[in-house]
Amino acid sequence: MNVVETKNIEKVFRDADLEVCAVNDVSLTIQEGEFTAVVGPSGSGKTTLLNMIGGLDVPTSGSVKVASQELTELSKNELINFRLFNIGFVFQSYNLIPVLTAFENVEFVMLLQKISQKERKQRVEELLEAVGIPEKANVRPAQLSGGQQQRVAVARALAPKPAFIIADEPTANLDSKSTKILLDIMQKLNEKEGITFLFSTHDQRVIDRAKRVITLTDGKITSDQNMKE
Amino acid sequence: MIIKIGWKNIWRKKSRSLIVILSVAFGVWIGLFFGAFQWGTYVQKLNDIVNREIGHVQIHHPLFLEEEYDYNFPIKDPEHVKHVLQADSTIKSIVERVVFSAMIQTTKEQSPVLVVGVDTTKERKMHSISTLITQGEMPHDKRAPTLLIGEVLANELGVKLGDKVLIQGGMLHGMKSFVGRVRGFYESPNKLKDKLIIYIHKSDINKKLGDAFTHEFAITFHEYDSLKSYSALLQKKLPHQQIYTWGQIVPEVENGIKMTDKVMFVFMFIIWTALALGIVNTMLMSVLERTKELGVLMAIGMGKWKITQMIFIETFILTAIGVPIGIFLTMLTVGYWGDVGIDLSVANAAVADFGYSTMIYPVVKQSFYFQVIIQVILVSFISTIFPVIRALKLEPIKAINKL
Repeated sequence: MNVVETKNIEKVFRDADLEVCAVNDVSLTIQEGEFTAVVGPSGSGKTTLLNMIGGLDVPTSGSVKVASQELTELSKNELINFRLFNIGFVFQSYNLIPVLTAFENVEFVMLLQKISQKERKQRVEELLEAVGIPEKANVRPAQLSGGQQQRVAVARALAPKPAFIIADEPTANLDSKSTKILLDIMQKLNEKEGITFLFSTHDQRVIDRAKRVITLTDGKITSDQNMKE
Repeated sequence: MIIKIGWKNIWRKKSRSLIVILSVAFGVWIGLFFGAFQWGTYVQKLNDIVNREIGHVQIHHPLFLEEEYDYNFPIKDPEHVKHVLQADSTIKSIVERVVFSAMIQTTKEQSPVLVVGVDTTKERKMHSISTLITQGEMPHDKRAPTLLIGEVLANELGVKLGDKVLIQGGMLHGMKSFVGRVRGFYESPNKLKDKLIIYIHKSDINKKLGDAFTHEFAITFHEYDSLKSYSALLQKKLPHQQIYTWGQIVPEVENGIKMTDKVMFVFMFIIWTALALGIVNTMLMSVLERTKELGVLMAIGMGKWKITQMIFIETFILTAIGVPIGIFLTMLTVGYWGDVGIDLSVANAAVADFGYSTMIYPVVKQSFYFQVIIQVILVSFISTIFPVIRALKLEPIKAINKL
């Protein structure tokens, strides 16, 4: 089943007389359960592509379907709601809410989904257990290491049971040890629970773990490799 | 959770939140305190001028005031009027007076005065001229008419207790005069009045002038708030007399109160504007500092309504902390000055010359609390609209990427 399907998407940024085509005629599909890395040099359009797939940005032209929903047809408010229930985000710089504890950060999205308190509590505990930091439940982000914060971010992304998770350079700010732990967790979640991950990265350690690697150059897909082959 | 985030957010920058809390507290306090001061002034003026002397309404011959207190325009059929008034349950007190303009003369000086003939027994029910006597006593019915005059007038005329003076006025049968003896001095907060009004027992005047005239009924109602409707009803009952509210009798006092209201309105507008600007500034800073975080919240699915709620809750919490502090300060200050009084004589000696007491005792009406709290809440919420709009205009991806 296709989780993501893009057709001829293009993103052009205009600034006065300057026109930059960040993503150029990209068509791709992501199947359920994939562990895919979008790679390429800086400025190749990785993040822009992920933003459009994640409903954070709108393509200049083309079509983006996520979980069979055409995102370009949704209003801004509908997009927010769609993201809430269908897409999990892991950001490069974690972006946890500093005033909330790890538990509350994970719980927050479920609260927006109006999930019952009992169910929230159970799921947060499971997720913090899954990312290996159950003991940090009541700790605020400022007291966590970068790796721990990113693990909380992964738990937060998983909390709403999304169709897939978009991780934009998730290891860029992490040391080797934290990177390995994080990748182990994400790989395990992918293999055991079939969670779909879509990364943008130029970290070789992430690329080595990916089942599929899509290479972008100047906004175009220049290679799409299934790493199992 | 939104409330929890709001609560935690406001303590991120404690000093900034404290400034807003103190601004709200100050706004509430100053609003309530000046409201109490204004009300205290109003009550004082009513007490000084209206309750003590003029009454809530007065009844006169329709031409009496127009003819400048001419003795020859008494109320027709005062017994009927008295009967109507006594049958009216809304009326608290009735006093009947002879009033006319005259000249007071000594061997050396003379001055225009308003002679007020009072029934000392009945007059006590309404006004407390007896409490203003500084020397001597209230005039009472003796062989020679006895006078109570203001100290200001006494000084001007150079009369002492026991001195005789001549009262001369245009009466029904031409100019008439009689001699009276000064038996007491009084001093009211109104220096103009002290110079103008002299009191004589009503029966003394009637005896001396050979008439049984009544020029004025001064009335107070049980409920001051219904003054206008009661006076309109009274006018219907007494179509041949003219009913005047106290504001019509002393328009300068009513205008003074209205002017104070306007000054207070401008003052409060300035206070609320300052408070609003403070809140707009603080909440805007708070939003701008959290641009990235707000972007993340939008990205993970927090809708505009929830963002709006969160920012409004932050303002509400700050307001909810500030308001009780302001009320507490008001209770302290109004409690203190309500007992001790604020003496305006140092700041403005002219106040007394215009007939107002220089001691003001602030009083907070229960409705003030409600009004000021509602005003502060409105100001706080209106001030939050702009920061909320700024927050809602954020594009998640641009906000997240903001350094």
